[in-house]
Amino acid sequence: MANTKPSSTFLGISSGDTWTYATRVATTSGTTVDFTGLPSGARKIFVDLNGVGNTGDALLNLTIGDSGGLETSGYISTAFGTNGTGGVDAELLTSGFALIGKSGYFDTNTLLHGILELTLVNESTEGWAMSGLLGTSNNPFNVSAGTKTLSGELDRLRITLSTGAFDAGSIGVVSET
Amino acid sequence: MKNFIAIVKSSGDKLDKYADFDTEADANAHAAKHGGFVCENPGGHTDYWVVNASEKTVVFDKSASDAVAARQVIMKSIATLEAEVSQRRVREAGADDAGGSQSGRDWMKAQEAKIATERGKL
Repeated sequence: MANTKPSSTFLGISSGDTWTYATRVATTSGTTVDFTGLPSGARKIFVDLNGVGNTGDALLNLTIGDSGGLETSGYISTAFGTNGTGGVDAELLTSGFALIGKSGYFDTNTLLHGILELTLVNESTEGWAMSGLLGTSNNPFNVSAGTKTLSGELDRLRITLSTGAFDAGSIGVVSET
Repeated sequence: MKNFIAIVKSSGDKLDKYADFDTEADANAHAAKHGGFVCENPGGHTDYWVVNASEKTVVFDKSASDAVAARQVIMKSIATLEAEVSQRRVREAGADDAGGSQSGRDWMKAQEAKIATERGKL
């Protein structure tokens, strides 16, 4: 489904941009969520997490790819998390975009709410930057950022749990071309 | 989990690029178009996949995965124990004439022992 939003210049989004909404995916089982067939020419992609839960302490990462597949190396990525009561931790990752600062900040009591924003920062090299803000239903909060250069045009992404399984919520993707 | 994977690119024994499929035929078609080889999905997190391009195999290094998971459990336990050492607990572990008490000092000593035990597991 595609529609055109009213005029806006916020964050470089201008009148006439087309927003394509992928079908939301329930995160009630499994360890991965895939979105494929993302529209050609996307410049911004937003991934929203709505009450995403899991069965245990887990990290979460985002990988992106092109028609050849998901790429699992070459990311420069950091996630910083706090448990909200003084604890702070960081997770570095090169095999994907790290989204959680520490596994304990996405435990069985935590539901993630927030958004990840992918921006095409270098069209000629397929360079993407990601920033993420994930609040929770309890205390933890996670901030993430990173970059990745793909070998082709982005057309897919995957969100992966490090362990356990999803047990609540949903994830959606909207692409701006 | 999809049963077949096309390993499109790897460096040494590290996975760089892949796609997964329900059928071997689809995986083969993908490898024919994009390069690489096809094998059965070994399961587990891709961070612990060990690729052998010449043998056209991928195995899941469960021991490495389990070791990381175990370390995460220990680190969480240490963080929980450390977080219990509140400012009040610190005051109670001080000298009697500074607001402390023997029971407060005993608690702190026991807490330190618990933390040391967990740290010893790392």
